[in-house]
Amino acid sequence: MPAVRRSRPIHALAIAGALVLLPCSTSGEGAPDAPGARTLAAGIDGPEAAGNAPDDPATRALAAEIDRAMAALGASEAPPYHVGAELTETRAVRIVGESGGLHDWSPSVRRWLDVDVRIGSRELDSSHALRSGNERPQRGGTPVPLTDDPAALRHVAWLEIDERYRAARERWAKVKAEHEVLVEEEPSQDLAPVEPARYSEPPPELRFDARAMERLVQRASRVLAEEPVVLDGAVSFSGSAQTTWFVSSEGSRIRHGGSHYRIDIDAQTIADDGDLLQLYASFDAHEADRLPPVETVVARARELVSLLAQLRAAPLEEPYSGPAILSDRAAGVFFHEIFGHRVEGHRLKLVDNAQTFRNRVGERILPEFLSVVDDPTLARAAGTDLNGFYRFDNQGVPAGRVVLVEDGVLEGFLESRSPGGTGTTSNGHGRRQQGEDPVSRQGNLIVEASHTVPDAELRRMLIERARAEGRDYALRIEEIQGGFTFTGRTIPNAFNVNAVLAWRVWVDGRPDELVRGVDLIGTPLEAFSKIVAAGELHSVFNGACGAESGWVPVSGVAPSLLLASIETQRKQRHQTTPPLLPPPLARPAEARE
Amino acid sequence: MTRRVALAALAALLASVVPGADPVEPRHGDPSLDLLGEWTTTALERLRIDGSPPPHRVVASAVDGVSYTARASFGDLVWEAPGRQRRGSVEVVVGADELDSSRYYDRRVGRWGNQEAEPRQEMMLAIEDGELAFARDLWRATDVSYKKAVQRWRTKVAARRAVGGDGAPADWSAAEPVVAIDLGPLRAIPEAELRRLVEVASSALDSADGLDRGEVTVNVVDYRYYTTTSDGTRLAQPEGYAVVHAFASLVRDDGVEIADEVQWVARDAAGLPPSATIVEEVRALGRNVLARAAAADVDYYEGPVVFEDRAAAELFRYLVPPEIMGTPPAPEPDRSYRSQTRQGPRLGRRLLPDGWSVVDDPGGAPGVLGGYLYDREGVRGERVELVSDGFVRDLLMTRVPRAEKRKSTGHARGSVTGEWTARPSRWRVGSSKNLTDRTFDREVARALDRARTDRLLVVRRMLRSRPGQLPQPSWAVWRYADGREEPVDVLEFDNVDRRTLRGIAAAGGGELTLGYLAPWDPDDVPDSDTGLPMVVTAPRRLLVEDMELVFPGPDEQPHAYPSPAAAAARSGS
Repeated sequence: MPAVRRSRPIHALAIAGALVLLPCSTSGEGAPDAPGARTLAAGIDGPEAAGNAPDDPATRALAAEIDRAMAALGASEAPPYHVGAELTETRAVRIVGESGGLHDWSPSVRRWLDVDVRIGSRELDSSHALRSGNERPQRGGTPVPLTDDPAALRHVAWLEIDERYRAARERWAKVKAEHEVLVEEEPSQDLAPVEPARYSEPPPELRFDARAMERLVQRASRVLAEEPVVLDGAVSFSGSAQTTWFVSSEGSRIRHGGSHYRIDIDAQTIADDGDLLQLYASFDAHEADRLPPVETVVARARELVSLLAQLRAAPLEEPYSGPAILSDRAAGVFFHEIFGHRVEGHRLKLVDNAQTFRNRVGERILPEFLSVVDDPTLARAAGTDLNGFYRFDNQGVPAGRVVLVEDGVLEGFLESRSPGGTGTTSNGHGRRQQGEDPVSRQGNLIVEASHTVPDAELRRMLIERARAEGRDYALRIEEIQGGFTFTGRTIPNAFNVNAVLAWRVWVDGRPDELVRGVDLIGTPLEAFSKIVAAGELHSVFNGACGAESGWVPVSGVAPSLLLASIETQRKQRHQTTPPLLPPPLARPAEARE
Repeated sequence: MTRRVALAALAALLASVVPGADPVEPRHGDPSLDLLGEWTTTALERLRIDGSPPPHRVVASAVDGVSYTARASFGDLVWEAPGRQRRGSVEVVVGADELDSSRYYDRRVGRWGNQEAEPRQEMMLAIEDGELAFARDLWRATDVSYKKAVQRWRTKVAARRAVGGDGAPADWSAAEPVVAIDLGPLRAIPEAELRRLVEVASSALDSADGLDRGEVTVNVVDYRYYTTTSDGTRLAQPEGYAVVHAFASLVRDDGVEIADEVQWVARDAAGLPPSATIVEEVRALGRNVLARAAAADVDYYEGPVVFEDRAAAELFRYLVPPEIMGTPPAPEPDRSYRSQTRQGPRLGRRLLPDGWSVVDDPGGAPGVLGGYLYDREGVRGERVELVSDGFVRDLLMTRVPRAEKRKSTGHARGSVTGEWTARPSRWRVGSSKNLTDRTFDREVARALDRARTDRLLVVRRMLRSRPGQLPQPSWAVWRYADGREEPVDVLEFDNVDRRTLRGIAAAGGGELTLGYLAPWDPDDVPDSDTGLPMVVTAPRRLLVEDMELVFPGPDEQPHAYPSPAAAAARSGS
C-alpha cells in the first residue's frame, strides 16, 4: 500500500486547544491560503490558479476512471456519451449548547462521490423525466476513503460509475419507450453543451476558536434558561470547510472550495391555548472571525426571549385581507418561495408543472420599479456574508449572475444543464445535496428597486391605505419561516407561508401590536401585482432550501415591500397544554457574567 | 481536574440552579443518578391534572459514557467518530399494576413515527456536568410522558372493556426496590490503536484480488447505565462492548453476489482478539469469498447438514430466543390476550431432542460481556433453566407478566430509549451427549449412508437475519466421505423454523462460546456493529439430519466492465 498523508485524527478536535485548524486530507498542490486570504467579492476572481486544471491524486484518479469507463463501455449496446464525477470532502464541527451546558460536540471528516452517467444524446438521454409515473427516486453516491491512494480512489470511482451506468441503461430503455409513444410537450436538451472548465484553488481550512465557541453556546443558551417563558432553547455553532473536485468526460477539471460558519439560536414557548411558538436567529459567515462576538449573540438571545414573551401574550389574528408591509427578512423569504421557485428552469420541462412563467419572457410580471437577479458569485451583501455564494455549481459550470426580471419584465430563468426556459445552456445553477441529481436552484436571489422610499414613508403609506379603506389597522410582516407553494397543475397554484412575527400597525397611532397565528396565502401572479412600493433598507436572509435535489444553502436580499393587499388565514395550531410544573431556571446574574 | 475541584464546581453549579424539583432524598454522589432520582420522585408526587389519574410509577434511565467508531476500506480510513454519549428516557405510568397506561398502541393507525405510542420519552442529555441542562431535560420529559400516559390509559381502559374478559394478566408485577451503585471509572478507549486495527485488518482484503468491497469497522462503547424508579430503586451499573466487524463481497459475472462477514465482540477493546488474529481471519474471509465465487452452482440440496464452530452457536442464536422470551406482545385494541399470545413461546413444548438443555444466567458480573447484576427494571438477573431434556420448562421474564408466569426473572433488556423485553444474556445450550470428534464423524458418516449421498453440507459461518429464520451460509463447504472439501457458492435455507432444532441428530467437538450483538428490537435483523451484547455457549459441532437449501439466483446485473485492478491484470500492466 503506498504511503499517503492522512488526515489529522479527528478526535484531536474534541480536546484541541484554543484554535482548531483541520487540514485537508488531500495534499493537492501548494500550501493552503491563510484564512481570510481568499477573495470573497463578486466574481470568481480570487485564486491565483484560476484557469489551471488541478493536478492532484483525486483529479487524476477520477479522470483515469472516467476515461476508462468511456473506452470500456464505448462499444457496448448502450454506450455512455457523458460521465461526470464530483468528489466532496467536508470537514465539519457542530457544537450545541442548551441551558448553559454542551449538548453536542461532533467533529467529522467525510468524503462523498457523486457520479452522473448518461446514455443517449444531449437532446434525449437516460436522465430525461419519466412521465408514466411511479418511478422510485434513487439516491446515488458513495462514501470515499480519506486517502490519496490512486488505486483506492479508482476502485471506488469504478464501483460508482458501474452502478450508475447500469441504472442509466435500465432507465434509458424506459425513456426511449416513452419517447416513442408519448407526445413530447416541451422538447429541449437534457444536457446542454458547456465549455469545459479548468480551475484550481487551494483546499480551504476549517479554522475557528473552539474554546470560544464552546463558551459562546454555553453563555447564550444559558440566557434561554433564565426566563420561565422559554420551553426549549438551544444555541449551536457549526463550521464546515468543503473541497470539491469535479471531473467530466468533456474535459472539465475543477477543484474549488469554501468554508461556512453559522451560529443558530432557537427558542420555543407555548401559549396558554397550546400554540407552540418558535423563534430563530442566525449569523452566517465565510470565515469564523466574521461571526459576531459573544455579547452580540447573547443580546440577540435575550431579544428572542423578550419577543417570545410578547408573542406568547399576543392575540390570535383573525383572517385578514388588506394592505401589508413585508419588512426585514420577510420580503426576501417571500420572494424566494413565491417567485424564485417559479423561475427554476427545470420546472418548465415538467409536464405536470403549472409553469407559471413559461412563454412570459419579455412580459411584465412585476411592478416596473422592481428587478430581480440571482447572483451566486456575490459573497456578501448589506454587510452580511451570503449563504448562496459558490464558484461552480454541481455540474461543473461556473456560477453565473442571472437577470431574471428587469424593470418588471421577465428576462430569463435559472438553468442547470437541462435548460427549460428560454436559454439553451446552463447559467451555473445546477445544484444538489450530496446523493441527489442536480436541478436548477436558487443561489443568492436579490430583489432591487429602482425607486424606493424611506421605510418611514413606506409605513406612512401603509397607514394611509388602511385608513382609506376604513380599517383600524394594517399588517406588517417581519419574519417568515417556511411554508409551501403548489406548482403542479392538478391543484390551485397557491402558496401558504408561515409568518412568525406579524404586527398590527394601528391607524390611530397606537404602538404596533404583535399578533400570532398568521399564515400568508394567495396565488403568485395576484400577489406580485399587488406590490406598490419598496423601502430603502435591504435585509438579508440566509438559510437552506429543500426541494427536488435536496437541501442547498441559499440567500435572499430584498427591500421592504408594500403590498396593496395580502390575505392571511389561521395558522395550524398545536394543542398541547403548558408544562404542569415550573421550569428549573438559571440565575440571570450568572448568565450575564 | 481533581475530585475536590470537581465537587466544588458541581456545588457552584447546583447553587446556580433554581430548582423546579424538590430534593427529597440524600444524594448518592453522582449528579446524573441524583437528578434522575429527584425527578422520578418529583414526577410521582407533583405531576397532577385535575380529573385525571395521578402518576402510578415513574422510571427514568440514562446512559453516560464514551464511544469510538471507525471504518476502513481496503486499508484506508473512510470515517471515524469519537463521541461522548449521554441519552436518557422517562416513562410516567398512570393507573394501577392491574391495568396501567404502559405498552399500548393502536396498530391500525400505525406505530412507527407515532410519538404518542412510544413508551418512553427520549432525552438527549447535556454531555457535560451542568445540572441545569439535565434538570430541564427531565422537567420536559416527565411532563410530556405524564400527559401521554393519561391519554393512553383512557384509551387502553376503553379498549380493554370492549375486548372483554380474555384472561389477560396484570400489566405489572411487584419487585423489591434496590440500591446498587457502581461508579467505577469508564474504561479508556484506545482510539489510535483501533483506527490502526481497522486500517491494517481491512488491508488484508485486496480489491486487486477481485473483491468489490472489503471493509472493517470497529465500534467501542463504554458507559454507566442509570435507572431510578419512583419506588426507590437507584442503580448505576457499568456496561459496554467492543465489536469489530469485517465484510467482503463481490458480484460474480453471472450477477450473483458473494458475501461473507465476521464479527468479534468483547466487553471492551482489551478483550478483542489480538490484532494479528483478526488480520489473519479477515484475510481468510477474503479468500473464502474468492473461492466461493469460483465454485459451481448447485440448485438444490436436501440432506444432512453439519454446523461447525460459529455456525453451530448461530443455529441456536437465531432459532431458540423466540421460544424462551416470555414478554407478551403489547396489548392491542382489537385483539384478545389469547389471540396475541397463541403464536408465542409455550411452556411444555418440545424444542430440542431428549437430553438437551438451555440455561440463561446473567451471572451477576457486569464486567463480562452480556452480564449484569440488575436488569433495566431493577430486578436482579436470575439463573433460569429454560429447557430441560428438550422441553421448554421456563421463560425469561420482565416485570410484565404473562398468564402462565407472573414474576420477573430479571431479564428486562434493551436500549435506554427503546422497549425493554425479556432477552437472553449469557446462555448455554447443552446436550447430555457431547461426542468426541471421532464419534461425531462416525455419526456423520452414518447420516451420509442414510441419505444415500456422497457428500454433505458443512456450514461454518452465516450472514445475519431475523430471529426465527436461518441466515444464508457465508462459509460452507461440501464434505465428501473421503474427507475432501469443496467450497459452496450460494445456498439459502428453505423451510426452517423452530422444529428444525428437533432434527439435531448429534452434537460433539466440545463447546464454543460466541459473543454477539442482538438487535435492539428483538424482531429486527441484527446490525453489524451495534446492539445488545449476548453470549451463547453451545456444542462446537452439530449434525442436523435433514435440511433443504436452494440456490437463490442472481441478485443484480453483473458489472458492466471490469474493475481497474482486473483490467490492469488482463492487460498485463
